[in-house]
Amino acid sequence: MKRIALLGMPNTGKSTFFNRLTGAGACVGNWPGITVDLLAAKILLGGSMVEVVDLPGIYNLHGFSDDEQVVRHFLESQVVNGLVVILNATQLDRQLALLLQLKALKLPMALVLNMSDEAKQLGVKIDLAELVRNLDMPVTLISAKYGQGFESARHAIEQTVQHNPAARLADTAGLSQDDRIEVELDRIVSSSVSTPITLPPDITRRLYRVLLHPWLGLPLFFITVFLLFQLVYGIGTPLQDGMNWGLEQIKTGLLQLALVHAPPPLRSFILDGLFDGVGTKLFTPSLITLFALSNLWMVRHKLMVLQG
Amino acid sequence: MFLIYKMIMHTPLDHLFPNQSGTIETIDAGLELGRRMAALGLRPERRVEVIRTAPLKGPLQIRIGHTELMIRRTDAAKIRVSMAV
Repeated sequence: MKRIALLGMPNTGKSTFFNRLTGAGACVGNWPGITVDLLAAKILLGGSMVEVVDLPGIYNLHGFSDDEQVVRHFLESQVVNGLVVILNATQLDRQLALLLQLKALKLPMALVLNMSDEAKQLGVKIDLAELVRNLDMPVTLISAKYGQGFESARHAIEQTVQHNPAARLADTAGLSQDDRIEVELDRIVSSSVSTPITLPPDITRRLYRVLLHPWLGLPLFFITVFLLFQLVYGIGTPLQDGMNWGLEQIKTGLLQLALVHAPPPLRSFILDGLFDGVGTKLFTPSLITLFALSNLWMVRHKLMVLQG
Repeated sequence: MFLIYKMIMHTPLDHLFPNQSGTIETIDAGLELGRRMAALGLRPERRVEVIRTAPLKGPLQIRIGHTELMIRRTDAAKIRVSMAV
């Protein structure tokens, strides 16, 4: 069986891409010599079955965190037909460093740049042809959130697998090598990525200026939570009442009539037990409102924390 | 006749105020943290901007290119920057 491994930095949409690529068929896999479980799925790619392994997100191939060691260990011990690297298109200036480290492993590779929609918004221009020439591997722009470019990414992965029918082990010299990639990184970034010098003050920054204010922030937080609470009840309660009314209609108009001739114990079981029991516990309108609103609330939370 | 000097100040990153920016000169954070910093874009000769700082010696929010991150004040002290004043 052929095998490809998915790699990338944390928060690049790697798992979203994995799920889209593999459908719902992923399961936890186990490999000899690897002490942790990794997510893997077998899919049909370009006419042959391919096992896709979702490796943990890493910042650095030569790092010391547990995840980084897991990835290194996997690459040391498992043969693959290719690596698929997913990077955040808005942060190519630093994320390409990981790709250059992985390139030293001398394995077949395909690069997928996610969040292309956001990069366009921020004014980041990526010269795809130049990037392909510099990196010597297929590069596709996608937006995992909106599903754009997915088919061409899939096609690029298919090609990589087809052109490399024999699985092989990474060049271990690349695993121990130090990060002497600064010069190459700067050269590639300056020739293929153009970033606006002054960033447009995007809506997140403006929002944060108010929301993270030293002493305005907390009152604003409480006011927002209070309003959220009010909204949940404001929207949820009428919906709840409507639903209760509907359930009552079904009970008196339909079920009671249908069960007129049923034996009393069965009737009581269905009406008072099942129907009332389940019906009164249905508070879905309020729950749905709460989840919808809290999704809106969370949608723009993407600060990264530098963990020591 | 006046001579106009462009003064360059060398300082640890945690001494910068919000909205000030500098160019990273050296990072003396050891191998492990140093590599994590490099992966997040903190490399010599990169421009870094302090966006906001938390009170009571709390963390700093900084920006390098399109990457924004929070960094402990003690870790920021390991990064030396130069800035024109």
